[in-house]
Amino acid sequence: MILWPLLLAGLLSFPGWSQEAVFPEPGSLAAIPPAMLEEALSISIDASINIPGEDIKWLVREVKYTLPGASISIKLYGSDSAIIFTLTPHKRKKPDLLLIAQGQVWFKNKDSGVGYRTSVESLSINYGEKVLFYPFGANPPEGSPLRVEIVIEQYKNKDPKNPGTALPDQNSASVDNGTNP
Amino acid sequence: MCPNHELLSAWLDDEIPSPWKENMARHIEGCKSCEAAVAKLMSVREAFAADAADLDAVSEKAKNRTYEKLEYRLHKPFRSNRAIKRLYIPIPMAMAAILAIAVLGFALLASQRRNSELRMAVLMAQEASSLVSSSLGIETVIDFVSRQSGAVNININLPSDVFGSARGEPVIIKEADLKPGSRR
Repeated sequence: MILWPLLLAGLLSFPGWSQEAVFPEPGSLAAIPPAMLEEALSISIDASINIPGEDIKWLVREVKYTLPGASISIKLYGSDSAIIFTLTPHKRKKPDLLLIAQGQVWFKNKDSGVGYRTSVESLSINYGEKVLFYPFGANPPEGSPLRVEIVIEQYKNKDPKNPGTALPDQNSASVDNGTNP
Repeated sequence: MCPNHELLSAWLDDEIPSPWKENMARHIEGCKSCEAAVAKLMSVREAFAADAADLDAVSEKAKNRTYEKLEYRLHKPFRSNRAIKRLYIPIPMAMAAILAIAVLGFALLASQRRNSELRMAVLMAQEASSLVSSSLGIETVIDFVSRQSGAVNININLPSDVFGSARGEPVIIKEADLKPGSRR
């Protein structure tokens, strides 16, 4: 019985296992193969909560990198809801991109348990054009304040000498509750 | 004539019978040297009494400690042969575990060697090919592709209690197509 922890420790400390930990974080620029950086797309995501007549109450800003045809998923978790927004950008000649966007929304209902709604759109967009996702509707009677704003740009068009101006700044959120892991 | 110290000590201890006891009391009241000797004897007796009390307390503590030790020994769990046997039971398991570690270690080493050989083969193939192999970095491409099934996940925690009962249909729309007047 005493040897099982030793056995586990021995297996975990084996150098063959530790090699797994060196992979770059998915969605980071380091995860894009260097030879494909020319093709890379930067996706800026702003998830915000707007109360009508008030300033932005909550905002989380993220920038991720992917390649045309490779999807990214944005998952938003709340105390009574879970939202998955999946984006797959495909390159075109004119306009620049065909964006396949899918939304899945789960929420707790007071009466009927769990509710589930989906949405899918194929949008032809240019680089830098804003795409909006309203998980609970754009304008329901009572208003749904949650909004996810997406901007896709070509990574190669960024200014490498001054990335702070060209790249969306992750720290410039006016209100950020810091809940993003 | 004054009584000696032994008589005075005996009188102090109430060991002198009557009527000599009363005679000595009368003498001590009138004799300063005997009164001083009796006072000295009384102080010595009080000192002894105090020491005896301390000794009693110490001996009481020692007695308690001894009783505690005895009690512990009496109630100490008895190590039976069964417990000793339980120590010997895992030995075959230990041998099996050591064997498993050794076999697994060799297997991992062998697989690592195979991986390094494969990498060398890939590197040699890259050198031999006319493609832009040096800049392609096929390993990073393989890593990227192997992670495609999971996509890139961004997890954001929403603040609680912000939605109320607003539950419209989800909308995905270009900002340019959003109707003027509708809330953004």
